[in-house]
Amino acid sequence: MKSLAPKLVGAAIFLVIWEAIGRSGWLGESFPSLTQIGAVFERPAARELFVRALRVTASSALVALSLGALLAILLSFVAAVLPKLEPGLDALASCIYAVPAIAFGPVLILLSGPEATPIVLGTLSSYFPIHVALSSQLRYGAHAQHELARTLGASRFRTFALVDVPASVPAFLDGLRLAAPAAVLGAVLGEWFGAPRGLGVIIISALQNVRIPQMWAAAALCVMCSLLAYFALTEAHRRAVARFAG
Amino acid sequence: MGSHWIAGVFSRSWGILFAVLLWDALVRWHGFNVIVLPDPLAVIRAIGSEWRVYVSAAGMTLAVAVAGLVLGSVLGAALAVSGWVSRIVAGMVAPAALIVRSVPFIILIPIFSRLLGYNLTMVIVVVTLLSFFPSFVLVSSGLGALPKASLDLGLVFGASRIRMLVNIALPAAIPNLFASIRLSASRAVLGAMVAEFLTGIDGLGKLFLLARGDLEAERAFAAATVAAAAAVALFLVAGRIEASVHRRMN
Amino acid sequence: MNAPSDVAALARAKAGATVELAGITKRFALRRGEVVTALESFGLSILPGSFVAIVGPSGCGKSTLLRLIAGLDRADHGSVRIDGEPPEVAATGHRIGVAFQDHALLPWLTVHQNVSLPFKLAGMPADRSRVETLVAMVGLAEFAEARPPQLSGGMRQRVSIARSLALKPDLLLLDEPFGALDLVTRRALNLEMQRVWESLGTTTLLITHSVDEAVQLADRVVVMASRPGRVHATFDSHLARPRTRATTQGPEFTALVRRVADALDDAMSGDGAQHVRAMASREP
Repeated sequence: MKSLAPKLVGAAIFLVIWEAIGRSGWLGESFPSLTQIGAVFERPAARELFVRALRVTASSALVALSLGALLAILLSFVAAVLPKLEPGLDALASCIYAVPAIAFGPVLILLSGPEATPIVLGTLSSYFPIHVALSSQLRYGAHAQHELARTLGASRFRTFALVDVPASVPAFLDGLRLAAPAAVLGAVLGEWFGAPRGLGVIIISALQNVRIPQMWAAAALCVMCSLLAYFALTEAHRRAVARFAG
Repeated sequence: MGSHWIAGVFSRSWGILFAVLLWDALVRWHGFNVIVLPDPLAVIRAIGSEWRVYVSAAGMTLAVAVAGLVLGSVLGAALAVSGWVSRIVAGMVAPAALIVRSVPFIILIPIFSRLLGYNLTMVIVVVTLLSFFPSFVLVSSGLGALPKASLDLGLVFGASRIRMLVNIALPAAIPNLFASIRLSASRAVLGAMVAEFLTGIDGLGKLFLLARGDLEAERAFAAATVAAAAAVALFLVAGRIEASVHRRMN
Repeated sequence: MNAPSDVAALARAKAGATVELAGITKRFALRRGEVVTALESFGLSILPGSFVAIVGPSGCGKSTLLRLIAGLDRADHGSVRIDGEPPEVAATGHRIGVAFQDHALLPWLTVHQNVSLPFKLAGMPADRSRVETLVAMVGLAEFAEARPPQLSGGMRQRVSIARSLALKPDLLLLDEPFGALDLVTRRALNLEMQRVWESLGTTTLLITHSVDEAVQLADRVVVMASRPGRVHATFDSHLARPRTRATTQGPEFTALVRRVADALDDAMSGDGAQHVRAMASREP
């Protein structure tokens, strides 16, 4: 684990710099020091509130990430097996991703309810990185193995199942680890539109009441949530590369 | 000849047409208050009647998006390369990059507007931050996936770290850089639009803001649709560039 | 066991594909608008069940030739026919076996699973005992459960060779399959190759740098010249089969090897000599 030490050192340096900036007030009130942010968690009532909100947001993000992964797999695999459909599917996928959330946020609240909206937005944010990573791999990867399969007379479906699917596991996990922070942020955004609970709700109310340390405290929890997911998935990706990419 | 072209266009757009039909069906069936969701035809008419306004707003938003996208991606790539060269830099940058990426976008705007004011620079900075993380991760990935044989080769030939970087590492990283540009393209446009919406800077976001203020849903959705179209267009262009980079390199 | 050659030829002629190349021209466009002609009006006729070896200088289009026969590329002019049909027909019918320089093994599968892959790709149940025999034949029985990243280059090449024989192909295309192997292993595999070829009657096309190997294994040795790639000379080898180490020590073998090597030198002196002269003129 020798690569961990420099990362921890780096993270420590980052935190020290942040604390210094916050204490000195160099960037103004918007960047409080870490101790100020930490002070938010002193009261047990506040802690309870934050933990509950964290649980809600984290579970929405988890569901969103899973749904996003499923959607991405579906879109990429269909496009790979039926290449005639690929341009249309690709265009649709990018369109869905491209629609501004601020426009249809209210629509979603009405359609799916305030509790499901974070999941929907999280899914929409997270499926795209996975789809891009997978489709890049399916389009450009495993070239020599494809030629071998062609000479051996394998049907497109068989080539896909036996060569492409296993070969795309590393790319899938690569996309997944990029998508994890996106899922968290999408969930938070969805909560912003009117969910009853969650870190996004805390952020909005903190913004409205100009309680900056509280806003950062909620943001810090978002960040920790994303980081945890990101590191877990990065480790999974590393293992997949060893197993599937030789 | 003409039918060939039509078939080509259809093969790209059937998905979108399907989605628009769904939208229309949704509006009819659910009976939304028009303020929440107008029907597609009204939106298209709104775009058509004032298309010059929308085009110029789109131009402004796209300019900001492209500037931030390129800056962010290059910054991410540069940091990934420095991280590859120096493990301490990697140690410092990776957590910072991740943290910046994980902070909710909605708090970035108030934060940076206090720092930089409500101007174009702030919007570009925000879009740069949005595009920077995928580039950093993907380019680092590409550098990390270098087969050991290539690196060994460089070492045996006594190549300096810089030479190895330019001749072996960068060619490995470049396809990933362009993949990350394609990935971040849409988000850059949308980020620019949201930033304009929250700050009143000129562009599609401002059009949306004004239309919302006037409770003119068709025009608001028109701005959003044009933004989506611009995001997709940028994404497609990035995809073309990525494909031609792949062709050149293989 | 010296079967009369015509009877043996008849027996072999029942299996094995006929390969006909006529007037093949293939060009490649490089960057900056340059065009290189890999093959020019290339023609070759391969009788069913025969073993043809191709030797030639680097860059003479040998690998391009193999790719054209395998149906992976299309010629700009001319025709490639396997049993009278375009290569795609033989490919779809799973009648081709290949061992190319890029072994294209699947890194997540074991040696055994990689050799079984052609069955899976053809949608057939894998013939376990056949796979085991093939794995043992190339000397990897102990490594049957290992994965490609754990094997050396030579071992991976051996897996590729075993895999090429899995479906008992009518046509076998081999591109320097023994290149990464040491001499002892190479000799052992040459003998195995002969045995397999005799029993299967597969039409075999082998590209090799080793003139010895070509003369030992093949019925016919084709010497190619480069730029553009074309047939420079053809030699028929009537050495009696089976061709053992004893055969390689006999006068007939040595004479044939010398003639082929001379032809190869001639073919190379076309542009090989130019290269040497160019390099010499740059020397300080």
